[in-house]
Amino acid sequence: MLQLVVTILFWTAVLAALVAQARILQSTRRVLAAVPARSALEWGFALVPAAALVLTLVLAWRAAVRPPVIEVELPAAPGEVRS
Amino acid sequence: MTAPVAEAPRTLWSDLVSLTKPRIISLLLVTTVAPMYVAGTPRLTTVLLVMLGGYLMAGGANAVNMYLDRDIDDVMTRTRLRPIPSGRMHATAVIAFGVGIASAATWMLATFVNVLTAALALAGFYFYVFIYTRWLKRSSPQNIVIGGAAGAFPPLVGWAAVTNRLDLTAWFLFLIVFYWTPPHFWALALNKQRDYGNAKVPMAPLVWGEAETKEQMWWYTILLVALTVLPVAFGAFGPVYLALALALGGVLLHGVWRVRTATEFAKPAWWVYGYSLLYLALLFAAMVLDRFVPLTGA
Repeated sequence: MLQLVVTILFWTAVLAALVAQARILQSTRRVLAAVPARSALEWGFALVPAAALVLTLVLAWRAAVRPPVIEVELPAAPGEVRS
Repeated sequence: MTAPVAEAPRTLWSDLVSLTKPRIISLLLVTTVAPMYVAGTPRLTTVLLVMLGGYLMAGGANAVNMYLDRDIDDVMTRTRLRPIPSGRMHATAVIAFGVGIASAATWMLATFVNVLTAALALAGFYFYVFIYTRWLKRSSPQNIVIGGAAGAFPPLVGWAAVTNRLDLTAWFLFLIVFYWTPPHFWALALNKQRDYGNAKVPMAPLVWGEAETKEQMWWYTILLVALTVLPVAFGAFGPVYLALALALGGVLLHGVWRVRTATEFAKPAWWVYGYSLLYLALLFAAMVLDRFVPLTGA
């Protein structure tokens, strides 16, 4: 149940973030169409954070779905010396 | 020619303190120290050293900023009383002071905390001075979008001071401050358009217009609130933080919505400017509270 809530929360937040980022880029396109000077650089200023956001979301997804690490101490084999 | 402005007598000490912009630094220190308690259990001496080093580094950056902006500070009512435009301090003394305390901070953090912490704090200094103040502030309406990264270094500094590395949660804290910056500063810029226009600083409302700025404020705020809840999904924070982040974010969204929809936006924009400061401080406090009151049900 808790896992389901977390999953819903995660994808809702991801969707909201991506939609918001897309609307920011749309807005940037509108203002750059009106004020075209230095538009390549201004596009860069808008796209770099967008790329960083996507990368962070991918890393967050990988961290969210990563199975828990269980460390098991195996018995020593005959004659094995452990430091 | 600017009109004479009445002012209270000031000492050299009070001028030196004002060069560091202590009110701004107090929020930076919250976003530095809170991540230290999220990352681990720091010793009190480490916390105090990071606070002092962080204050000196940010204060040095602010002093160098006042040196670089001395020509426009005189034409903005908000900055006219600063030590250089008011004639109380010589510009050379100001930059020497700024570089001096930033150098002292670098040495102190590298010697008594760790090299990564010092390097991150110094990177924040350089970003603020060269990328924001020197390059973007007067050349791009997205000055505070990219320049906002300078203010996002403190969480990395605090995290590195405790762990001597950076992980995903630390980068999320960086992004939270990064995406908090545009709605916060554009709320101010909406109300200070004349000042910025006089100083020829191309803030978004002046270049893009008010409607497009308010539109971007709204979407940046949604992005910010979404980012604040994501760390819960990978276990960085628990339900206490989640509840507080949603409540604080909901209030911020309501405020920015009022700015976006109001014809007379001055009052709601001032409200957003003030509340966003409180929001960031309380959000980082919620992260610490969550660590000490986890309520995970485990």
